[in-house]
Amino acid sequence: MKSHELELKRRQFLAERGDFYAIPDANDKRRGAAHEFAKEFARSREDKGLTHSGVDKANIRGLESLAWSTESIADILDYIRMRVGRDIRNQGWGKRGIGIRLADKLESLRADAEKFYSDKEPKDDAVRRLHLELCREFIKHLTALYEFYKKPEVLEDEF
Amino acid sequence: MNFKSQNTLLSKIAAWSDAHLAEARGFVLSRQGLLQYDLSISQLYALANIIRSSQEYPQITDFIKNQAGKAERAGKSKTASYWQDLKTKFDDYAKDAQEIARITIPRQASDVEQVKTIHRQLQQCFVQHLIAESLLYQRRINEQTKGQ
Repeated sequence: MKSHELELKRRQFLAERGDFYAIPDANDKRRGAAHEFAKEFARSREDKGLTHSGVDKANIRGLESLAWSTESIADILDYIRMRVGRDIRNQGWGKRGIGIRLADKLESLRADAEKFYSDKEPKDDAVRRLHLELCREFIKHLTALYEFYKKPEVLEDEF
Repeated sequence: MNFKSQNTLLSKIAAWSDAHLAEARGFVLSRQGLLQYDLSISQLYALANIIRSSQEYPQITDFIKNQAGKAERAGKSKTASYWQDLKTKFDDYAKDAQEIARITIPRQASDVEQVKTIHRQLQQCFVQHLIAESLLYQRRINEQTKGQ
């Protein structure tokens, strides 16, 4: 496959995966994982009341900022795992295991990257780079959906 | 170093970091018993700070040897081994740093200071993984202790 054809397919794959992560489907529970995480993060914040947040906007934005500035997937995973580890009172990233589940989910996206290249010949660390971009895509949707779900009137409708 | 070389170098270090995450987890997992009583996360943070601020590798190894020596004198041989094993890994990573320099900045691969800088970055990546995994294990230990 020519390199520009491969690049086009790669971008299409990223977009398709982004939709898969962001848009739930009642008939397919595997879809909409970013959507579910966003709701859960927004809910963890609401449980604490408006005076003290669980995982709040600054945390989510920090994760997004890191995802787009780092070249290392391990940096993203370390960021989350450190915050889970430090959350001794289970009020934020450690609450209901949400942080560790997110880290595990992001790590598992490597399978999607490997699937894309299963019938192609990846150059250098193409699989790793695609994994990184899938993590960015996931976190991008998570952040946007979190911003939506953290509005009190939306949470009231949902819960 | 030009922009392209700089980007390639960052990419290679990031790839090395990702590839060594499993090794860091294994290192913590096989020594997780130390996290309860004999090893504190603050020691790892101190090591991370030393790596960040030091200019020479002996400054880092002196810190590690000091920690190992203190553990030995306190009769904590497993803790001493932890630090000695970590130093062994750091020594090995010098070869990785040389290889990364050879691939990414071939004209400067013989520049000792460049290779030392890359070596410090690899050590920093590994210690970051150790801190994250250790925090997680310590949390699990605390939860199990509370449950008892």
